[in-house]
Amino acid sequence: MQAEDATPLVPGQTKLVKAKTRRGKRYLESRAPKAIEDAKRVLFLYGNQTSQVIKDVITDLYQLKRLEAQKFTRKNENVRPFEPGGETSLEFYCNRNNCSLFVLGSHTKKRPHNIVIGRMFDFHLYDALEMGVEELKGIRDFGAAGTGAQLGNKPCVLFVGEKFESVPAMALAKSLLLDIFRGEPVDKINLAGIDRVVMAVAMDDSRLQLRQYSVRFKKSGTRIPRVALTEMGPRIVFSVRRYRLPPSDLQQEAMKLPKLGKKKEKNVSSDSLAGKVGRIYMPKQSMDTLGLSKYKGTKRERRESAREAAEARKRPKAAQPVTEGPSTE
Amino acid sequence: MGGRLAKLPPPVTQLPRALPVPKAKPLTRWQQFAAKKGIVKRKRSKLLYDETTGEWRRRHGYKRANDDNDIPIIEAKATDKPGEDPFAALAAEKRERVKTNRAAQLANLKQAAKKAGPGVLPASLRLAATLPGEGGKVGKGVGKSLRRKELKDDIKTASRLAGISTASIGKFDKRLTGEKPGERAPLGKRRNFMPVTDTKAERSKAGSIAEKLLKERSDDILDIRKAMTRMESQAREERHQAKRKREEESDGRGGAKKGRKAGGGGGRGGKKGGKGSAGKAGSKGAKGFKGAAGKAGKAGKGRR
Repeated sequence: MQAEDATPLVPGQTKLVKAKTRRGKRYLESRAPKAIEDAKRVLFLYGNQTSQVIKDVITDLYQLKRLEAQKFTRKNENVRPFEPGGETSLEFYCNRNNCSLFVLGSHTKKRPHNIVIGRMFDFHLYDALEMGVEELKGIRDFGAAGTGAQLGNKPCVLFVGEKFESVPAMALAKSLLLDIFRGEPVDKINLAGIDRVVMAVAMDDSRLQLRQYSVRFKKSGTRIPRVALTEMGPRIVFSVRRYRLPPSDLQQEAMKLPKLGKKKEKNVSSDSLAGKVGRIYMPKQSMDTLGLSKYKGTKRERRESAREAAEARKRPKAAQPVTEGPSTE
Repeated sequence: MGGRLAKLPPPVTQLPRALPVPKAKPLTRWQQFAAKKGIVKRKRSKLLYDETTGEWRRRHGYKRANDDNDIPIIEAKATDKPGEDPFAALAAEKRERVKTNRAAQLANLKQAAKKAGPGVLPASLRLAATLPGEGGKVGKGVGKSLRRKELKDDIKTASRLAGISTASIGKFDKRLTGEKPGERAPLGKRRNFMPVTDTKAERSKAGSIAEKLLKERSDDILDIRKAMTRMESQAREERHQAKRKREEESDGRGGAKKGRKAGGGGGRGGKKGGKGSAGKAGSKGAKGFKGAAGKAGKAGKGRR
């Protein structure tokens, strides 16, 4: 981290370029490939021309992904994912902002209200799908239905229609929408944190509708609560236009599964004499403020009820002459 | 916030990764050796007993045990030479060790990158090839051989300049032993200067420059006299044509006219079959046959 090697450099030699600060080093390590990846970040940007519809769609989708997304405000005219040289700018932006997904909105006479959703592999264009927005009902038009849902929670994603399996464009749409709404890959989820459902319906070979519901759990007689869904989010009808599938070698590379080593269980070891041995770490306890177990008799309610009973006995005893022997209490 | 944790089953739909799967790093030279010999890595204790102070101190860090920098006295040995500084010698040894260690680390990284590509390097490191004179530093930053070459070029340039700084530009100086014929010649083409007293040459040169300029701009420059004569000749020719036409119509018709025309046409046609200049001459001739001989040349010119 201090001044680099004092050895003089000779032409043709290799130089080691290190991160100059520890913070920089941590940042680079966070961007390095990992076995299990973080949530994919989305880059929202506009093309050469936009329409109000497109702006609404982009802003609504951005609001759904806020922390895991980056939005560009300016128009970019040299971003054309479906043309051979037009993806270099896009790849550069995605690389700089560490985004593996992008949503590009534009509006031209030939392709009105156009949205391109695409993915990157190793920050090179992997695949993309172009859709046109036919109908839109924004989040604002649904009132306050979405206020219950919290940002950062993972939604349930639902795909309705067998077209998502049969038609290749719809299969790509399914894969992309899953990638966008997935969030962080987890193996355990808090059931109270499920507060959104995203539904995609394949209306026919080239149209799909996207809806979002907020989930509320109501009391039902049993342990399993009653689920109440209210439509909250943008309701968009897309018509699928062009699409671009990945080359097969890149696809093979991207679909490789990492070799996951078994997680080391901490504080557990096995001994030949005792078998499986575990370790527990206790926090420091001060003896003065230790909460000892209480005896039943010393509890306050018991004492009070005993005192009342004693008083009740005293009063009738005073009224009557003492005839009985020692009290049975 | 309460809520029960549900354990999710492994995913069914596989989505493509964002980055390639991290590659396993190839073993370094020491790791290969250790694997071969069966050397196992042992964890070192955090504390170490310091002989000089007689207490347990940490192994690395602040106030560490057996710190090399804190040795107050080094006893002289029989083999020590006077004038040598043992502390400096220790420091120099340490520097050597650090240098070799760093070189070995770099060699390991290069070997790993060569074997498995740049993906195996740790994220915060990168190997970059150095170019000669990188960083603009000529001197310490550049290799010894490169410095020597630049000095040699400097010396050569200086000696050449010194050699041609005589009245005869080094032409008649004796060549030294080992000097090659072209080494002390002035560089560049030989320049010729015009004599100062020759006015005729100077005038002709100026005149040629003026002519060249005028020729280039001849389209823009309008010679009124020439334009007038041209216009007048054109008008004359047109009048002449009109007059001839009226004469032909009023005169006898038929064979004489036709024959004349046919002859003229045939003559022209036949001559047109030849080369350009022949064709031109032919047409001139034919025109001369048709109209007045004296005016034919000018008329031809005007037409054109």
